[in-house]
This record gives sequence, C-alpha cells and structure tokens, in this order.
Amino acid sequence: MIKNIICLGTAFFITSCAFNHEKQIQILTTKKVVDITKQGSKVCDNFILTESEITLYFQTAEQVSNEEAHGESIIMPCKYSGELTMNKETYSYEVFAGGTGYIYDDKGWVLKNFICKNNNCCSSFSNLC
Amino acid sequence: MTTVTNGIIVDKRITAKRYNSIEHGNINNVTSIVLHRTAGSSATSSPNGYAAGQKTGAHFLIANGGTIYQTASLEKLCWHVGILYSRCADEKSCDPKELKTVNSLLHQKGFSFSKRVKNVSRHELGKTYPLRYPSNNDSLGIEVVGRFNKATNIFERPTNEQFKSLKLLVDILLKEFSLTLNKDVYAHGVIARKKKAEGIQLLQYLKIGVAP
Repeated sequence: MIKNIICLGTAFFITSCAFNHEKQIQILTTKKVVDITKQGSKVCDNFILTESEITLYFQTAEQVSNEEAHGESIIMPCKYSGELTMNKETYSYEVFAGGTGYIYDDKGWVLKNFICKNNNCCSSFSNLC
Repeated sequence: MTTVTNGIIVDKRITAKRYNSIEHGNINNVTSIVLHRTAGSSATSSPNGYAAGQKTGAHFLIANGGTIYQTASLEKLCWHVGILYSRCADEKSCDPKELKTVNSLLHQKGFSFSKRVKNVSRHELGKTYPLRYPSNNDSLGIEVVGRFNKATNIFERPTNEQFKSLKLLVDILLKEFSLTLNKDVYAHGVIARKKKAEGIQLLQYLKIGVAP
C-alpha cells in the first residue's frame, strides 16, 4: 500500500515536472471574441470558458516555443481574451477554440505560447484538444 | 545567373542550409507559394528548431537583414501549411452538396474544434489545386522572420531588406515553376487556420510594389 502511494506520488511529481505550465495565474478580465468574417465562426456558439476554466487551461496546457506554436497552432475564429496576473505582474492573454493560448507583455509581444495537447489538458478540455 | 541543381537554387544571393528534419518525401508538382512569418524575432530560432528535430518548417527563411536561406530542397515537401480552410466556402463558390458536406464536418458532434477543422482540411486535400488552397504536397513555403503583435493585430513590419529579398526569391520561383504572382502566391493566414494577418504584408508588397 505504502509502496503504491509512493509510486503514485512519484508519478504525479514526474508528470507535473514534465511540462511547463503556469501555476501562479489569476484571471482579471475575460471577454469572448468571435471573428464572424472567418469560416466556421458558427461553431463558436459552443465555445464557452469560465474564468476558472481559463485559469485551469493555463495551468494544464503545455507551454511551447514560438516555433512549435507557430507550426502546431490552430487558430479558430473564436477566443477568450483579457487580462491576467502572473507572478504579480499584469499581462494580456488569448485562448483560442483550437486549443492554442498566448500570454502577451504590455507592448503586445508574445511572452508565452500554450497548446492543449497533453493528457492533463485534454482530459480537462476535450473540445480544445 | 541563377540555376537549380538537385532542388537547390544556385545563386550567390541565396545560401543553401538544408535541414533533413523538415523534408518529408517528394513534391510531384509545385503549383504555388505560401508566405509565412516565423513568429520569432531572429533568424536563429527557426534553424535551431530544425536542427533539434522540429518537423514543421518551410523551404526558405529570410532573415531580418535580408539574407535568404534555402532550408529544404525544392524537390521535397515541407509541413508548412497546416489546417486548410475550404476554398469554395471562402469564395462562396461551393455547390449546395459540397457546402452541406463542409458544414456537417464543421458542426460534427462529439469531436473537438481542432478535430472538426482537421476533417474539413482532409476533405479539401481530396480536391486538386486550384479548387482548393495550396497544400504541403504542392506548394513551397517562405518564412520571413517577424513577430506577431497583439496590440496592432499584425506582424511586425518586415525590413526593407526582407521585402527586397522576398521579391527576388519569389521572382526566381515564379519563373522556375511557371507560376503567376496574382494566382499562385498566398498569404498563410488567408488559406489556413493561423493568425489572420500572417503573410498579408508580404503579399501586399509583392502585388503593389510598396511596403505597407
């Protein structure tokens, strides 16, 4: 029993360390934005994220490099956008229905890229994965 | 004098720096050119990714100073396009049956958003160019270094050197593959599910000859 608990704890620790997530995030504002000029914008009716879900997204989605995000991102015509605090600093963010997310600095440059593709994120957000 | 030998452009203005990791099989017929932005701030980050085994990438990379690197053979296909939009849906030219198919794929229940658009893209690949947008199988990709800015909602303005190099390179490719600028050169953000602004400034420069 104790051996099992230790194994499970170790597995959880390794899984937690395997991907780079953001833990210290608090969502300040959020707004759903739909680009009706792009194809498939009607699917956005079913794209709904609460503030706590956006927080969970950034806590579970995999942080990737600019190049990886550029290659793998799927940009749908709908996103949640707003401001958040991370390590006590304020930034803006976007989370797209295709599972791609960004955190931007105060000048609008990408600071961090995220993609929902690992088990943690996919099990929480099956529609973003 | 510019020549092409074994898929590599031989021209003193173009530096061959080929990465096997981004080459995936042979291109049978080049029908088009897709203009990309790297999303990174320097020309080192993309090749670093390629060298580390990254599988996505394009045939060319234009650095901030205008240096053109050929990073893959013209005879090889690269994974640079991503998830295609339905061209006929964009251009409002689908017949009713085709439009119904595209819409049913987009709204298919039980699938994630990304899975649904991937299914539309896969459906598009069953068509021939130019009935669909360019795909990895029949297009060359040109990456121009530059980051996206959320405040302006566009990519940073390419340098004048990048614009000039892009024109030089596109002119070589148009001639080599008998393509036309107005019909066969595309901004990535228009044809695939990427940032809408990707490649727009580049195409605008090529078409009107003025840097935006």
